[in-house]
This record gives sequence, C-alpha cells and structure tokens, in this order.
Amino acid sequence: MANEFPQNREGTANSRHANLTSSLDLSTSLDHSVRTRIFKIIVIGDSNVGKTCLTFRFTGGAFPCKTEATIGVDFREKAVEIEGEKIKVQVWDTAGQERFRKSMVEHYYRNVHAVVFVYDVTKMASFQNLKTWIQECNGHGVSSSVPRVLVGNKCDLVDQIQVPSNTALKFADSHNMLLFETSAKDPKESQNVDSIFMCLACRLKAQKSLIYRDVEREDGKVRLTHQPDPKSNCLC
Amino acid sequence: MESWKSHVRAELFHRDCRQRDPFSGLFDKVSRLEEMLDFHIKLWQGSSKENGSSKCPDKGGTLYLRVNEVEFLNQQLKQKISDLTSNIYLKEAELQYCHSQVARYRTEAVLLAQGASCLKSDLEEYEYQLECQSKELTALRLEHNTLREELAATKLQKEQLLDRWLEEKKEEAERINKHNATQERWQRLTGRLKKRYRGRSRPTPCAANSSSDIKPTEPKI
Repeated sequence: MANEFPQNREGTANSRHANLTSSLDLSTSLDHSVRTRIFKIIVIGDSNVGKTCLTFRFTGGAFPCKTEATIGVDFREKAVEIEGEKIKVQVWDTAGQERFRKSMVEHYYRNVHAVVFVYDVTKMASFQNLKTWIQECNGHGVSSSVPRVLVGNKCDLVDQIQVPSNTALKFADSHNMLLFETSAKDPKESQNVDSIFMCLACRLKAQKSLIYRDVEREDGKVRLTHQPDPKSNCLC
Repeated sequence: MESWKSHVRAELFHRDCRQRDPFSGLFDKVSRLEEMLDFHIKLWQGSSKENGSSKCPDKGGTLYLRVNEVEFLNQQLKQKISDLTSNIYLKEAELQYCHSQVARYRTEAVLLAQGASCLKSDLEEYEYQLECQSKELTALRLEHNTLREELAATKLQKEQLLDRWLEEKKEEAERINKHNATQERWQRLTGRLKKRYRGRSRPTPCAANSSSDIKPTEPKI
C-alpha cells in the first residue's frame, strides 16, 4: 500500500521517442499519484468497542463475521471523491488493548489528520475512558485544529444501552466534537458509518487552505536548512 | 485316724475326682430306693388290708414282693420306653428340622460361595482395571507434563511471534508515515511547480490549457 510510486523509471537509451513516452507516462502517473491526497484518520477507543468493525464497514462495506483483537495497528484505505477531487482516506485501526499498542502509540499520532474516538453505547466504562483517550491524544501533540469526532457504536443493541445520547452529546460538545451514534453491524446504519469518515474528509478538504499556509511556513524552514543550489532544477 | 477311715476318705476322694458330679450316683440311688420304699409301703398297706385272703402262696410274701417289684419296674420301663419313643419322635422331628435347616444353609452356603466367587472374580477384574488405570494415569501424567512443557514453549513462541508482529507493524507504520510525509512533500512541490509554470506560461495562454499541469517539470524529475 505504501509504495505507490511507479517502478518502471528506466527507458531505452537509444530511443528518444520511447524515453519521451515513458517520461510522459511517468509524469501522468506521478501527477495522478501526487495529486491524490491522503488523509490519515486514526480510530481509537477501548478494546472491544467495535473499531475494527467500524473501519471494515467503511472500507469493505460489510460487517466482519469474526474479528480478533487488533495487534498494533491495521491499515485500511478507501478512495473517495469529494467535489471532483480524488482523496484517499487512510484509516488506522488501532489496537485497544494496552499490551498491543504501547510500543506504537507515537506512530499513531504522527502527522495525523483526524481522530475518531469510539465508545460502546452498551458499556459505560468505554465512555468514561474517553477522557483518558483524549488526554493521550493531546499528550502526543495533536493540534486542536485536527478534527475529532465521537462515535457511539453498537446502537443496534437497543435493550442494553447504558450511555444516554444526551450525556454523550454533552461530552462531545464540551470537547468540540461531532457525535455519531451508529452500528457497524446494522446494514441500515452503513450510510451513517460512511458519513462519519466522509464528514471528516470534507472537513479536512475544507481545511486545505490552512494546511497550505502551514506548509508554506515549513517550506521556509526547509530552504534555510537545506540551502539548495539556486541553479539546480532538482526539486527533491 | 483309723486306717479304714483314711482308706474310705481316700476312696471317696478318688471317686469325687473321677465323677464330675460327686454325689449324683448317690442321689439317684437314694431316690430309686425311696421310690422302691414307697412302693413297698403301698404294697404292704394293701396286703395288710387283705390279710384275711392270702394271695401269696409263699411264706413271708417275698415272691409276691418280687413279682410286684418286677411289675412296677416293668411299668416304669414301659413308661420310660414310651417316653423314649416320644422323645425319639421328637428328636426325629428335630433332626428333620435340622436336616432341612442344613439343606437350607447348604443352599445358602452354595449361593454365598457363588456370590463370593463372583465377588472374587469382580475384585480381580477391578484390580486388573485399577492396575490398567493406574498405568494409564501414569502415561497421562507423563503426557500432561509433556503437553504442559509444549504449552509453555508455544506460549513463549507466541509471545516472540507477537513481539515480531508488533515490530513489523511498527516498521510498517513508520513506512506509511514516511510515505505520507513524502506524498505531502510531493504535493507541496507540485503546487509550487504549478505556480511557477503558471507564472511562466502566462504570456502564452494556449499552453495553460494543456491536459497535464505537471508536464513541463518532467526533465527535473
């Protein structure tokens, strides 16, 4: 998944035409791959709240029959089109169990674009632990501008609900988050699951100008440190 | 002490030693003699009443006495025989009862012996089973120990695999993060190139309508 750069960079030395064609192909594919932006979204929460099912429902469109505890992290990706722009939503399905995540936490939060906090509506403890997850997120230098959403999963278990919607809503409001209550299992709720990630993707796309401003600031730093040769045309 | 007295005493002492009941013979004798005396008295009284007509042909009535004595003894013997006969019947009945009891007990004993034999064979079978089970238990214990050791080894292996998996996941996460960073850098560069290209191609507006914005930068890559 990570290596999406074209492998065939070599052309025949004697054929200029072929070289030109390959260069054109290269540029087209490069252009295509470069233009497809990636939004890294991490999904965190207690173990067994349904993070894997939620991400699988979004990326695979189905509910997995059997899941096991996620070890470390699982990467899932879905290409979406927002206002004509192709965007890759890269979902990091993180481990909920401490022993499977302790050595990986810093990787989760590095250059993260959005965070999805998940809790189980049938388990009050998973909701109460959200504070710890938010603390961990803030502790890893995730900017407040990074969009965050709160997702209450397993809404199909109507008889067992322990976390009232208004309590969750108050919590989400107090942390400036959007609240989604859904079920990864219920096929009727699949639109709702999609909307969680699409909503984040839209917000991230809307933040584009802000990101570019930050990027330009970073560019200044790069120029100072690397001191590129003004005559050289290489942009790498 | 006089010699005959000591002799009698010694004889009596010997007799007492020989007989379990030292005076039983004497008492029997005495009772028999008393009985005979009563009989003689009755006979005497009877004969004195009938004094006038003498029945006994002998003088002094000795024979008469003897005959009557014999009759009396005869009667006594008859009575004794009758008693003994009834006693024999009784004993026979008792004996029959004892025989039936013996038969019953024999049957019971046979049954019990059969039961005992069955129990013995069962016991032997159980002993054999116990032995087999004991051997099986020993084998199972050994297997259990082996399995436990294997489990420990598997657990260790699992932990190692888990660590390796985590390490690989970490590397993969690092690679993806790097790829994402590279992608963002490429996007920044593309943006800059686009800007530059637009700046250069402003005098020739036709070029700006080309399908790919990145084309002029090809040689640089």
